[in-house]
Amino acid sequence: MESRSLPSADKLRTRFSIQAVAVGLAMPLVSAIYLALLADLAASDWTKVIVAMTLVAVFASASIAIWSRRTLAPLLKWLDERDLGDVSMSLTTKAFSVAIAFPADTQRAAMVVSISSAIAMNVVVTLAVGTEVSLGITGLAILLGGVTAGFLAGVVHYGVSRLGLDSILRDFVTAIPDPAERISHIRSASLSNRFAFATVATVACALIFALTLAHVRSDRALYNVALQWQETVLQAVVSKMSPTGFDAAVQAVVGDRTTLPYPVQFKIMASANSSAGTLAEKLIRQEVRALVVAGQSSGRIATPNQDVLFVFRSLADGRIAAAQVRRSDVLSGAASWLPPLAFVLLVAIAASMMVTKVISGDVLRSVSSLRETALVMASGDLRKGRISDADDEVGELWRAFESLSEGFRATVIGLSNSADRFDSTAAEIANDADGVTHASEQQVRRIQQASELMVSINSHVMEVAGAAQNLNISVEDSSSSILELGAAGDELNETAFVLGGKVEEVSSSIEQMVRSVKQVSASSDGLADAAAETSASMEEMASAMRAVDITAELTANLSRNVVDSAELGQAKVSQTIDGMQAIQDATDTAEQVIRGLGARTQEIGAILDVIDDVAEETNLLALNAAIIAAQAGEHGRAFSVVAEEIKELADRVLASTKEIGGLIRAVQDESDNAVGAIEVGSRSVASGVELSAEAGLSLEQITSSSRESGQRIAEIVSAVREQTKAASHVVALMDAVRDGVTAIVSAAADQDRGNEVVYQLSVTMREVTQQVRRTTEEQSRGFGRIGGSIEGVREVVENVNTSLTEQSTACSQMAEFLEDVFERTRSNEESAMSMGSSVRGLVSEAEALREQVAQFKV
Amino acid sequence: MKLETDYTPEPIEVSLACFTARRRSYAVDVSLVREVVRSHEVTPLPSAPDLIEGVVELRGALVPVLDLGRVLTGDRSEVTNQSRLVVLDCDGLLMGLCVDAATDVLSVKSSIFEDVPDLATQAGYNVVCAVVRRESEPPVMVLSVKAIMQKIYRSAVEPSGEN
Repeated sequence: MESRSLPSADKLRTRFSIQAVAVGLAMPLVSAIYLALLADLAASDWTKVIVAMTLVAVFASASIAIWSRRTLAPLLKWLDERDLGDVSMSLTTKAFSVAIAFPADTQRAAMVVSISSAIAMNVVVTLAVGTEVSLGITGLAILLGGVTAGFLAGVVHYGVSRLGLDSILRDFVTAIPDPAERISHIRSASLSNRFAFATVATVACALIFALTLAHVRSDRALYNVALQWQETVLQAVVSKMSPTGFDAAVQAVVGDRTTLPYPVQFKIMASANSSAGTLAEKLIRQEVRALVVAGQSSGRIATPNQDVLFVFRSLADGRIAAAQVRRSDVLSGAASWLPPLAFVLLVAIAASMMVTKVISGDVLRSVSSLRETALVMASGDLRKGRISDADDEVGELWRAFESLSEGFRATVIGLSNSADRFDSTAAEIANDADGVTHASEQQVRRIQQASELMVSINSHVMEVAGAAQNLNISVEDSSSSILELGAAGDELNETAFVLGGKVEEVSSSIEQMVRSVKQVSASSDGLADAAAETSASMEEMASAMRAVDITAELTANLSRNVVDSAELGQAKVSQTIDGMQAIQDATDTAEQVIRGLGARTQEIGAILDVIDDVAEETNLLALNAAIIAAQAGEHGRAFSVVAEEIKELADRVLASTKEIGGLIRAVQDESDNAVGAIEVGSRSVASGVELSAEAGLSLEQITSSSRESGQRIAEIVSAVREQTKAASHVVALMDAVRDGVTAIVSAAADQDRGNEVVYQLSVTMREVTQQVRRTTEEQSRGFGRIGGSIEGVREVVENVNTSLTEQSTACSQMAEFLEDVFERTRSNEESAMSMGSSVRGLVSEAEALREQVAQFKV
Repeated sequence: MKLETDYTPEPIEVSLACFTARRRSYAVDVSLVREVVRSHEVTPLPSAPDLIEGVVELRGALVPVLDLGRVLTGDRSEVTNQSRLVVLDCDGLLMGLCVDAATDVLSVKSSIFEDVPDLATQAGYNVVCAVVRRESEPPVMVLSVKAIMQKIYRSAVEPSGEN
């Protein structure tokens, strides 16, 4: 709807007041017209009636205006508060119900006021004019006019109020958006009742007026005929009147009175002044008198407030002859108008009611089925319902409504399909989101595990790297000879073992040889040589062992020396650190002193500025003095000299202050430099202290590692010594063997049987000794090889070390990277979770939507 | 005003108040100088002639201030610790000249005044009315206060035509 500006409360108030006054003043006009048409009133009566009508109209207008204002009070208050912008809901609903009910209420009120005014006016007229008027046609006219005017006033009020409140009522659609609430505030009115009332009232008002008017007109015609007839008869009586008498003349003209159409009375009045007779006669006499005085010799009197039709004629002698007929006598001949009037009225009203019922029933049937269908639709059932066959506007409305519901149904079906699809899609998304959440949770767990693993790997690598470092140091520290020694010892053991076995064999052979010593030939010389050689090589080995022992001892001594030197170095380093600390303290003090000096020089500079200012001021004063002296001419010459002197003095002061300023600046620069230099020195001292601390730490490490290597070397030395002992033992055994062999040699000169065996044994022995020689050779070669392999080992260890370091760095990076990935995955997981929850919300929304849609039956 | 009106060829003793502006030495007749003071903060005078920088209050009197450097060369001079305000009194009309430094009072014979070259004076130049040479020091240019005042009047007539 379009927005339109609402009328203000004041405007509305004025409008309804004007409406009440206008309708209230128009009402007596209708009554007056009815009165004029239906009743014959004398001019004096008209005046009274009009005054009464005006009073009643003013009363009716005022009461309607006051009533409107009272009834509309909540609406007016609502409009006022609405202009101010603050409206409570209860006031709004109250204003709405008032605005809705107002037109019907004002119609009813106008009718009640108008009709009661008509009754009141009737009473007033009765009091003013007399009972005869109020009970007759005039009273009826006033009542009829009042009722008609009331009906018209009600209709006009209804229409005009409807028009005036139209824009406000439209505005309530936005003020109270809920139609159900609006309906609860509307007092329902039946359409058929409204139609019936309007039609019946219209028909009744029109018919009653028409019939009454017809009746009054026909009565008047009858009265006119009667009056004419009366005049003719009176004329005849007067013309026949002889001096004998009036009654004789009457007798002569009329004869037997029973033959006359109306019973007529003839009278002769002595003068207009006689006062005898009934009240009606008195009144007629007054009127006759008025007419005679006005100069009329004859006339009719048929005023509505008298029951007689009266004609008179003035006679020559001043008397008045008159004839009078009763109205009821005139009318008794005519048919009574009441029964047919009532019949016509009843028929018309019944017909109009029937028509109203038929038409409104038609409309109501369509409208109520439309309403039922709308309610069914509102409950969600959109299936095709009843179909209207009406051919009028209501039928068109029906068909428009059908197409509306058709469109709505199509929309709901589409909506339902969409909801289904939406639901399934949302479910899929929810599944996906759950999957994503699950996967990302797993991912997070995995990454966490990986990260922990990486951290532990890193620590392990670190440990390994530390161990490798240690290994490297140990490898470097313990010389290649240690390894060689180990290897050589093993070889030696093996050889000694083999040798042991062989020697066993040799001893058993020797036992054999002892039994056949005599058969041993000169070939045992070679054996002796071999034994000697073996012994010699054993000797060599023992000496090599001793050399190893000595070297190891030397190494142990060296490592002890290293420990001692390192400890000494550590002590020196701590002394150095103490010295550095002292230097730092001293430089701090020096810096503070120099800074104090700088501050002092600045103060001096400030004082110099003051002196400078004073000197400048003096200079200016001297200049002004010189100007004044020059203006004084000759008289000021002496003064000008003084001024010149003062000026020079001030200039000198300025120059001196400038010099001092320069000096101060130089001092400040120097002290700044000194402070800078001291700061540099103190920084160097601090770094020296740090370096010394680092050196102390390194020395400590050296000490500990040297101690460790010393311990290892001592172990090696003891092992070597044991081996040397074993080797010496072997040498001794070999000496014994050689002695034995020598004995054998001497005893086996003649040995024959054992010759072969001994030879064989000697061969074996040679092989053994060869093996021993090879071993020793290998041993000597082993020195170089093991040295090389140890070198290789060391390189490998270094390589391992560097790669471990690299690995450690890589591990750290990896751990950081994993941390990063973990963070991202965590955020990813959170997003997935939030997406999951959103999707779950979506799913529930979709379900709700589907439920909503399912409520529609299509 | 002696220089413009009472100038005669006979040598008389003339006292000159010397000052510098834009690194040049200038002088005015000492009788025109009321006093020399330190530079004051100038209150700008709305809609004043172009060359009048504003006014300063000096012993109860409001004195219009000119920047001598700007009057002579068009460039505004910098305010330093040495800046001075030379207050001139020309027939009761007070006028402050803002100069870079007030140096001294110079007593010279009018006979050593040198005229400004004719070519300049004939072309209507009259701001410097004489030049005093000094030994081992730059020459002093004697300013015509009247000419400076004319310049101010001209600047009021044609405010932006000067620079």
